Amino acid sequence: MQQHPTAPAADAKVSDVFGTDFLKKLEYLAIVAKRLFSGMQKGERRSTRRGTSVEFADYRDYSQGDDLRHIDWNIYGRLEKLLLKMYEEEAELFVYLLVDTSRSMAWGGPVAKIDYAKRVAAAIAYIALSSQDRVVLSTFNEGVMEKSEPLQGKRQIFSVFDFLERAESFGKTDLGGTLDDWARMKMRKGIAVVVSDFLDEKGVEDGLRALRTARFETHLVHVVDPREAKPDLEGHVEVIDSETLEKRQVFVGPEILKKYEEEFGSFCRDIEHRCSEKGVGYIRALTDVPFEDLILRMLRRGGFVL
Amino acid sequence: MLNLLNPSALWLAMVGLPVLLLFLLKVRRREVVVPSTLFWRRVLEQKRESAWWRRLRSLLSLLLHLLFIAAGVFALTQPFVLPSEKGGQPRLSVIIIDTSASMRTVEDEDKGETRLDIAKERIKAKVDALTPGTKVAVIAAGVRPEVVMPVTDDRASVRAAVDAIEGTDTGGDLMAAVDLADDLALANAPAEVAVFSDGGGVPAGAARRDDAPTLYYHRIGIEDRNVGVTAFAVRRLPASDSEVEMLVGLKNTTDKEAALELQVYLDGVLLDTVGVEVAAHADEDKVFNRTMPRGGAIGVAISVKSAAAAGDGLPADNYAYTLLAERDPVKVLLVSAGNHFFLSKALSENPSFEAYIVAPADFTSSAGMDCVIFNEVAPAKAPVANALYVGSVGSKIPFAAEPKKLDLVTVRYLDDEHPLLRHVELHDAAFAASRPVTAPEGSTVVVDGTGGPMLIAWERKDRRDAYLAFTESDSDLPLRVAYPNLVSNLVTWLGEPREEETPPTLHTGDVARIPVSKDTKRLLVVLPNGEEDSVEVRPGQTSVSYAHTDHAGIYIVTEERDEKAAAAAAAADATGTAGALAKGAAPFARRFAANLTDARESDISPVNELGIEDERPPTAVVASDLWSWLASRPLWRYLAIIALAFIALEWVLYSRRWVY
Repeated sequence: MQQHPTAPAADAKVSDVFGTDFLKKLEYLAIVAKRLFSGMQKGERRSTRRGTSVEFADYRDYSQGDDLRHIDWNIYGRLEKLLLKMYEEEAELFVYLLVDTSRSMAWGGPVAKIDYAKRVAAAIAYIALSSQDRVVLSTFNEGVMEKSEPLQGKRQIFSVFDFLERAESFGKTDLGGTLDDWARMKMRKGIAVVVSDFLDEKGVEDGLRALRTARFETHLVHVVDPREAKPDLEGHVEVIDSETLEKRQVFVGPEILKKYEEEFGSFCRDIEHRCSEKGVGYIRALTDVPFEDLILRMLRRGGFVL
Repeated sequence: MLNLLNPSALWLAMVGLPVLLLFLLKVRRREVVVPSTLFWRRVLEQKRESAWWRRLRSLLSLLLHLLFIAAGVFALTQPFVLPSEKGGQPRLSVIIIDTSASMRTVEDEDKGETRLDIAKERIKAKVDALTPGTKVAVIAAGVRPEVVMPVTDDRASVRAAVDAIEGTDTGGDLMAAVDLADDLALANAPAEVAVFSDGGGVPAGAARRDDAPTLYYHRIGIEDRNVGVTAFAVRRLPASDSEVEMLVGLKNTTDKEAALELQVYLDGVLLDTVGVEVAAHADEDKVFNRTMPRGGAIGVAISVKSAAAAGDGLPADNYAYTLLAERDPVKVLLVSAGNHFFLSKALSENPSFEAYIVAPADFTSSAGMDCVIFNEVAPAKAPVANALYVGSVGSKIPFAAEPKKLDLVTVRYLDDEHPLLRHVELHDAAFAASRPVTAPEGSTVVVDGTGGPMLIAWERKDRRDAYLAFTESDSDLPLRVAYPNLVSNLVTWLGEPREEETPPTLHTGDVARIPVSKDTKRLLVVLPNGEEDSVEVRPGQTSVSYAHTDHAGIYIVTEERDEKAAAAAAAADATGTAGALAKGAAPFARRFAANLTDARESDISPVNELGIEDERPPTAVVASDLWSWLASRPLWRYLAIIALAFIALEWVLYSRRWVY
């Protein structure tokens, strides 16, 4: 059987997280993504940035310092107003993937939240690379840990794998500070996808604000382990926070469990509500749902990422 | 006063120590790493409980556990309350159950429930209601009191013993049972005696010991209508071998005249049915003459013709039995040289005789015969059997008769009282001739005539002989009714027919004396109800006293003999009797009859008072005070329920998992 020309080389390095099957699934997802967006501009994504290409886009008022070459003098002749012609910029799209590698992401089973997050990030990266977009990966916990160079082309998927496999789970979560720091880095604007469990006592508000201020199109992928939503605990237990190592003694009875589930549900709904208010994409990813199903759901929902 | 039946169970209270220890020791909690304690904190903040409340909850849980253990251990000790002796419950309850025949009165015809059944149920209810720890003894009051359950606190055994009690056909002696109960109670004071009976069997003014315990009389039954046989006897009429006279005593306790059907059985076969009436509330003796072809077991049974007219509560007294002795035929040998037409007819026609006839030349011996008649002939030697000589002359006979007869003799004297002349009329008989004979010394001249003694009866120590001075051709007597009667009387007197000794008919419960031969090893007794019993016979014992006569009917006794002795006896039988005359009937003496025939038992009206001093009506258990109430109840059951309630409460409060 001949290898698909766009498929990664067979001798490419694969890991436990990103196995051969994983690559096949990524290829399938890339094809589905192309089919779904076939009605749009082929192969690329239109940038929201206004630039200097040949295709007219809009007018705007002249302001001091603007290039005089772009003033529409015909308009000035008719209306005596200085208006600048705006052209759509035919630009490369930048997709920034931010993966939470805090200690809490190591929790869960049989698939740890960190592994699930890596797969989701890799899948999104592959689809973006397949569309000739540029992908930048970042990991963070209390701060930005690592940031990759912009990657382009499908073959760069192995660089994505390498980057993600290097990421280890440790440290606490500080969404607000970390995302603010990250947004201040001098980067071209693009799509920022944050993959995290968002277990930060201070909430996601500050982080979202920082990303929006920096004019990133933001999407949140909320990774949730099913046992995190419905703990299988009973009786006298001492719960230990995986990040802070804080201990709490609790007698887990039906009543307590019910209240816990209500609290967790309220936490998730709160994040979703804030995202909705700010026009931020949000999707909840349960780790017992195959990641490809999650990606398909994201694609079909529309308006997300690609 | 609180007592414990099983105080050793208190050791189980030690179980509480580990429970207390577990409570004091801090529970090591399971450590679980969670992604974040954020939500647990929020939950705990909502359910924040003060420390003292948590402590209290914990203490309450411990308390419930300890209460559960305490109540459970206390239940296992089986506590019971002994009320104060003043009016309190006794330590021993001696229960007397009347098993006399009247207790077999059917109180509920639909269920077939008898007074005995009712008494058993009431006794069991009483035993269940007794204070735990109270011991029980049960006495069956039949004709003789019997301890059916010695003093015990095992209620199950008491119930089983009561269930096993059977009714009898005997009268009852309640007073003997009460005396026995008093003796039992003496060693277990304080005690009580409870009598479950319909009354009767207590002599008027019966008194008990001074220190006798309280006696409670539980009257059983309400039925008072009954008809029954209170007496039964049968005897042969002296005038007839086959006719018997029967006396049947009947009792009617109903308000109406009872029309009864009296059935007569012989060895189980219905012989006759007679209709009789007995007036209301009357005792009547009925006498009947009936032909009874042979001896055997005679039974009578009465049945009420119309059940609506008169009730019959006690079926057990509707029967009575007796034995009529068999009579062996007299074996008589006629040795005749002259006319014997009428004589031989008189012998052969009588069913009581077994007659043989031989010519004088053929006569050798009279062995095996009961009597021998020499008609106008004299034997060469004196015969072994008793003999009647009819006009015989000879030197070998015990009567000195003269060869020449006297003519025209008339009767001068008759001994009317002599059995030989029973139903014999000789005054108008004509005698053409009579042989003069001299009456030996010691003999009786029964008929004396003008020519000397005409009929001599000579009875000696072990022998009887008679001499008839005229032959059948000398008189017109053979043409008269008196002749066969005279012949019959003579043969019967001479033959001495051996009537088997009829054992007296017993009352049920009486002791039967059964004679045994010296080689008898054991007696096997078949009871009227078909059950078999056996009695060992000691060597040298001549009679056996048999007391298991609680059932009315015929008892059949057979002997189990020593084999060697039995073989010797059989050989003696074979040689001792002539083959043609041997009899194969079973020994008649090995049967006896027992009857209820007790007017007191047939009067089934339950009495309101026994007539014993200091008796009291039964007292219901009344919760007069808390101790009495506690004393009458099994406390361990309540304690067990309380223990379960404690553990259930603990489970509901602390361990229950609600299903949503």
